[in-house]
Amino acid sequence: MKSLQTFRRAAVITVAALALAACGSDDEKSGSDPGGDTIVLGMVTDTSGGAAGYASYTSVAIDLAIKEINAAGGLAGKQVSLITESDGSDTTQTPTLTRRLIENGADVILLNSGSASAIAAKGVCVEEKILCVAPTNLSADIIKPPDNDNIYILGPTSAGIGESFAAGMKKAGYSKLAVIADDVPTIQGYVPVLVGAITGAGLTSVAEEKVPADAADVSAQIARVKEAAPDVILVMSLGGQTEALVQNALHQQLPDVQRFSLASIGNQPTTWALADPGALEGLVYAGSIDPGNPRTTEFAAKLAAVGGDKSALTAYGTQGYDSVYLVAEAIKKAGGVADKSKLNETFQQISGYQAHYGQSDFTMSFGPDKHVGSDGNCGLVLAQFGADNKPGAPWSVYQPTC
Amino acid sequence: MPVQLWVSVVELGCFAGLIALGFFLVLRGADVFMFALGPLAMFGAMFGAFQVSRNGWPLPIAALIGVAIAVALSGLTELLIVRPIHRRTGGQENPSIVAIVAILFALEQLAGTLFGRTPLPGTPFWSAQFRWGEAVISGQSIVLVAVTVLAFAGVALWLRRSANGRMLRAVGDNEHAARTLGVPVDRIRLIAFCLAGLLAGVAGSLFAAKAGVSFTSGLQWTLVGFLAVIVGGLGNVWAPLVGAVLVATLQTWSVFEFGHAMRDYLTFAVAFLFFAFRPKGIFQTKVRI
Repeated sequence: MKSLQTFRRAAVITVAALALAACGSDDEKSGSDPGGDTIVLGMVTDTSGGAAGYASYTSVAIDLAIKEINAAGGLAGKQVSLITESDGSDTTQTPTLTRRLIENGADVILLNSGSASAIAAKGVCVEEKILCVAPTNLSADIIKPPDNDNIYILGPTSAGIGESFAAGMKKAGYSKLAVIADDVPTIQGYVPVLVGAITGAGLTSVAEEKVPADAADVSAQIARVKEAAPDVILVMSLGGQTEALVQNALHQQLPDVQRFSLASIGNQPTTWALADPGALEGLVYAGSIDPGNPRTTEFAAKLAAVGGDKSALTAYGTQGYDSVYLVAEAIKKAGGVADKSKLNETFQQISGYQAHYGQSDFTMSFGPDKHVGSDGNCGLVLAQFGADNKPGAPWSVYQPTC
Repeated sequence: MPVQLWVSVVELGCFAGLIALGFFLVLRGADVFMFALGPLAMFGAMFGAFQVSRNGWPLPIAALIGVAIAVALSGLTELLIVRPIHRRTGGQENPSIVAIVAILFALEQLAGTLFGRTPLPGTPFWSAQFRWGEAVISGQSIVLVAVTVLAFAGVALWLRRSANGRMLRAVGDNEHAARTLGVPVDRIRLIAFCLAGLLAGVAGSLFAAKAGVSFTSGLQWTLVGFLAVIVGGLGNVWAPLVGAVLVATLQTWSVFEFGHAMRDYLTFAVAFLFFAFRPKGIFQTKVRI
């Protein structure tokens, strides 16, 4: 029977197709090897995978910082250029693409893709002894020893978010926590860190639900959470459709329960539009934008002047911008990029750098044993969404301090 | 299960059913799995969502053009890709399916390039909300159900009453015999692909309002439609809808009872059981040459 054969063949081919999808990759290259007398920043980014939604905001700010530096005369007498590779958040490609950037002349690597990509690139950074900075990634695994000599993140890390949420929830008087997390490895890595910090503060975890990152419906998970009767819910996702689905359903089914979420929702203007009208109202998220920080305001004005749909003020942008200026400070102190060891040493000497995100007293410092820049959790701002589905005022109940 | 979950089952069942009906038509008319239907639904939905959210187009016009694009892309897939391969390989299915899978990924990347890599918000055709006991039913869900019923009834009538419909079944049963009898096989195959594109485009435009649409939505949408047609079978035009509702019920119930992990295990267990013991689905075709 022809149709039966077709079904059988389709079964085999479907498996192959799914395997292909799982291994789907993107390999884009922009810019060119500038060669010559320039300092080359190599950036692993994501233009087609799971991190593409936020990596683009970081890229715009990195470009802005490089243009500013070049307009001011460059670094150590040289202009700065940027070459990029996109790994599509496919960690099997990240090491190869990082090596390719180095082959093409990169003096420093900026890791602007998912946390898992940064972890995948770590080995190359260490082997090549090249300074690597992951501006937006939160996972402490990126800089976990051994073999972490020259790789850095800005922070605060997921542990800092957990501590801040724990303190805030306890102060607000919550006792029963429900967690809804998407199933991507990056987020699943954060779950024990955050839940551990919150339950360590005395709250009880009454439900822990997982949702697929490509979920079309989450009502069953929400029903399970509802049965557990929590008084506070923490949503953990990379943002986008999954976050919107969950927030819409929670708003509809558990409108009176306080919700918390990670930084993603606060930094993705495109996600706000996916939520039902008013569905995000009252949601507290781990932001990094403080209207009271004058450096943030200054950066926002510069970004607005750039224009385009990626010029919205997000933590991703500020962190990308700061990462370039941190690298610039190290290059200036080292007198160039010729000596990679010296460049790494001068990066580790950075102290008290006043960041363009976080609260106004937030600073970053690095050292041989300090590979997370943040000098405390005041790099975070717990902010609350307004009725217009946009981030509003800082949460009045609690703010992290340094 | 709480009533709200049955609302979700109906929504998911209708959406998957529409995609599965597209699979059904191409299988009956061209005997090939049109795995690109999910990305076609995504592409049409992304076009509509992009024009509404970024350029302020009226929803009906944007959605209509989005659906038309899905129809055109599906027709072009048959004309430019599948038909030449079908001819060169003497009607073997595997090369055509591999080409269609390649189109699946190409459409995803093209949509990402044209409409952006971030999810776009879908706009409901009817934004009202109704309470039924503890359950909330959106106006968009009612529209989805109504369109699904109309689509299935329309296709059933078309297959039974129209000459093209009857010829489509003949071509799917035995293309060579149909060609010998003078059936315009190429035209019928093209109609099957275009109708499948139409159903995919409509499904995508209606479902995007639930939580938006992104360039990566297509593969998941293909899978739900594919599972529905595997479970439902090809013996009856309503079979894909039955399969879709069963799959949606299984997936929703398993998550509610056992948590997320069991959903995938049970779904693949059911798919395996059908592949192994009832590969032609619940409703099997009775007439074969």
